[in-house]
Amino acid sequence: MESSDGTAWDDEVRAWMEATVGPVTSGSATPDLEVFRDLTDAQEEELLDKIRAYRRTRFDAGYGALTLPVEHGGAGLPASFAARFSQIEREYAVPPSTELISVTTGLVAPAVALFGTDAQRDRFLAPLLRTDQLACQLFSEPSAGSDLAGLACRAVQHGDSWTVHGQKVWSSGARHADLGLLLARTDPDVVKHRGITAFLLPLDTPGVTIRPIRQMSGGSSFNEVFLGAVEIPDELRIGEVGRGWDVAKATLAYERQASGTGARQKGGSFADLLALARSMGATDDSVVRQRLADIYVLSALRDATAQRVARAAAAGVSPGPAGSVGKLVASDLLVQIGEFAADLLGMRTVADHGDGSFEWTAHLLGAPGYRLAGGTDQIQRNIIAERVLGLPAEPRVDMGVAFSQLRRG
Amino acid sequence: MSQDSDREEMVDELRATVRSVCASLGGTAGARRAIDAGTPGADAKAWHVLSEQVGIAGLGLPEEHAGIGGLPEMMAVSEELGATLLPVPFFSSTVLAGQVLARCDASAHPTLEAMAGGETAALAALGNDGLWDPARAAFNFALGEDGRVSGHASTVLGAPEARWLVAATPGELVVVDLAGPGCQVVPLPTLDLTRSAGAVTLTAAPGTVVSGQPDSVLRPALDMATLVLAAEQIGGAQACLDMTVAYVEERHQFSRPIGSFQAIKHTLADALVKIEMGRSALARAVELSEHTEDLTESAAVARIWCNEAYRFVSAEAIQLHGGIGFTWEHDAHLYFRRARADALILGTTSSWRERLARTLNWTGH
Repeated sequence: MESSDGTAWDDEVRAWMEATVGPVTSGSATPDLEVFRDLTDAQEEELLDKIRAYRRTRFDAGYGALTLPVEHGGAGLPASFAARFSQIEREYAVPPSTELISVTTGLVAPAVALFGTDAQRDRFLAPLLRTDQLACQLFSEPSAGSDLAGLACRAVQHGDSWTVHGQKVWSSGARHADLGLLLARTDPDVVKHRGITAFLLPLDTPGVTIRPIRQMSGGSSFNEVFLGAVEIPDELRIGEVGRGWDVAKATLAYERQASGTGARQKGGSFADLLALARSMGATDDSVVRQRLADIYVLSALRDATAQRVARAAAAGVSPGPAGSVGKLVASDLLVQIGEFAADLLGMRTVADHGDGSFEWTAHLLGAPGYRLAGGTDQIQRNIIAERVLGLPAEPRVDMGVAFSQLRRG
Repeated sequence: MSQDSDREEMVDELRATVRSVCASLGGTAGARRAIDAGTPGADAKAWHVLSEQVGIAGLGLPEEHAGIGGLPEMMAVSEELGATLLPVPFFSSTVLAGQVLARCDASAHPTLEAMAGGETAALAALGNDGLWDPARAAFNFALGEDGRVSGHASTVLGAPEARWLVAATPGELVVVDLAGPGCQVVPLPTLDLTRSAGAVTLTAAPGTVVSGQPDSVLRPALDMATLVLAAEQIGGAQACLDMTVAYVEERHQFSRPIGSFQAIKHTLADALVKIEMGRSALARAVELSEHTEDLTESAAVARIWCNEAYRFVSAEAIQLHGGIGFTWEHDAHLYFRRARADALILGTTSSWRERLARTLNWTGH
C-alpha cells in the first residue's frame, strides 16, 4: 500500500476502522483508576486475546508494520504515518492494549528489523508484528536499573551456542510472553557498554524461571526472570557480538517515542477527580477549587504538549524540547491527582467503606511506580539537562574502565 | 492548509524582525538606559523604531485603522519583547488599551488612528487586584452630565508617556486626552523597572464616550491581553533559562563547571519543563481562538501556568547565578521584578483559578 497523499490514506484507514471495530461509543463504564493493572493471569490472557485478535486483523489488512521497510514485510511509510494511524485509532473502539503488546510490536519487532539477520527477520518479524508471538524485555537487573549498561547477566559462548546465567527484573508481561529480548554480558574485560550482546530467548527454554513481582498496589504486572544455565543458539543472537548496547539504545529510544497506540489512560483523570469532588459537595470550598484549578491546568497542558509532539511526528518534523517533557509531567500529574483524591476522601481513603471510593487507593499506590518505570524522574531530568539543554556530564568513575574492574552493588 | 503555513511564515518573520531590532538596541541595555535616564520603562527611541519601522503599534487593531495581525502576531512580538525587557508601551498601549478600543464604538476610531501612528494610550479600568469588576462599588472615574470626567486611578500602566487615557466609569468607557485640561499624571516608582506606571487624577477633563457597554468590551479584551502577556512571560522565562544555562557552563567551582552538578541540572530541567508547558498553553489558546471568541478558559489556563512558571524560573535564575545574581548590575533582578509584576497586573493566580472554576461551572452539582 503506497500513498503520498496523506488525506486519502487517512480516509482509507478510517473506512477500514469503521468496518472492522466501529467508532468509540460514549457510554462510560466505571472509571478505571488503576495505574498498573491488578489482574489474575486468566484475566490478563483474556485481555491479550482481544487485542491480539485486533492486531492480527490489522496486520492482515496491511496496517501492521507501517514504518518497516518493504523488504522486511512492512509498508515502508515514514514515521508520520504511524503517528497518524495511532491518532485515528483513538477515534475507534480498538480494544485496550497492554504493555506486553506494545513491547512486542513497538520495541522487540523493530529491534529485530533493525539489527537482525534476514533469517531472523523472516522467522520472527511477521509473527511479532501480528502478535502471534509475544515478546518481553529482559533488560533491567537487581544491580542494573538506571545504570542498565552495568548489567551482569553472563553469556559464555561455546561452539554454536551460548550458556547464560543471570537474573532479570521488572520484566513486564514475561509470564505471558513467548520470547524475551535479552541483554547479556559477553565480555567482562572491556568497558561496560561494549561487552553486551543481545539475544532473542524463547522463554520455554530449560533453565528459565519466571516469578511474578508483587507491586505495592497489589498486582503483578512485572516479573523476575531467573536464567540458570540457559542455552541459546547463536542463530538467536540479535546483532553483532559486543553491539548489544546499540540494540538497547535503539529500543529505549523507541520506548520514548511511543505515542501509546491504544494505550489506556493510566489512573484517574482530572474529570474523575472533579466528579469525585462534586459528588462530595467539595467544590463549594474555595480551597478545593484552587487545588482543582491547578490540576486542571496541569492536565490540560500535558494533553496540549502531547498534541504538539504528535502533530510534529505526523508532520515528520522534530518536536523540539517539548518531546522530552511528557513522561515527567505525566508522572507528576498522576501523583497530584492521587494525593488530592486521597485528601478529598479522607477516612474513605483510610479504610474501604464499600462504596467504590476505595478504588482511588489503587491510583494512589500506583503513582509512585510511574515515577520510576520507563526512566525515573531523576533520569528524565538528567536527560533534559544534558541532551536538551546541553549541560556538561558529571565526572564519571565508570568510563574507560573494564567492567570487571567496576565497583557494583 | 497552505494559508496556515503562509501565516506561520509571516509570524516567524515578524518574530525574527523584532528579535533583531531588540538586539540592535542592545538587548537589556535598553532597559538599563531608560532606568539610568530616570524614565524607567520608557525608551522613546526604541518605541519609535518598533512603531514606525516595524509597524507593531497597529498589531491586533482593526484593519481599517492600519491594524494588522491578531493573536499569533501579538504573542510572537510580546514574547520577543519579553525576552529583552525592552521598555516600550507595546503591552500597556497596543495590547491592553488597543484591544479595548478595538471593541468600542466608532467614536474610538480617531484614537485608534493616533495609536497606529505611534501615540500611546493607557487603560484605567482595573482595580487594585488587577481585575475588572463591573459590580465594583467604587469606580475610579465618573462621567458628569457635561461629558466631563473626574476621578482618580492609583496605578495606571504606561500613563506617564501616554497621550490618551481609556477610563471606565460605571456605565461607559471614555477616552480622555491627557494633554488636555484637567489631567494630572504622577509617575510612580515601580517594582518592575522596565514598565512605567502613574497615578492619574482627572478633574472635569473633557472626554469622548467610546462605549456604553464596558463589560462586554472589557471582558474579551482583557482575556486577549492576558494571553498576550502570557507570551511575554514565556519570553522572559526563556531568556532567564538561556542566560542561566550559559552561566553554569562557564562558572567553575570544585574544578568543574557548576552546570555539571546534578542539583543544578535538575533545577534547570524543571525550568525547561515549565517553559515548554507554557508554550503549549500559548499554542492551545491560538488553536482554540480559531474556533471560539470566548477565550476565558484558555486565558485562565495560560495565566495560571505562566504566572508561576515565570516566577519560578526568574527566581532560580538568581539562585543559580550565586551572589552575582543578587547584584543590581546583573540583569537577573530585572526579570525577577517583571515576573512578579506580570503575575499581578491582570489579576493574581488565585483569582484566575477561581475564575476558571466559575467558567467551568465547578460549583454546580
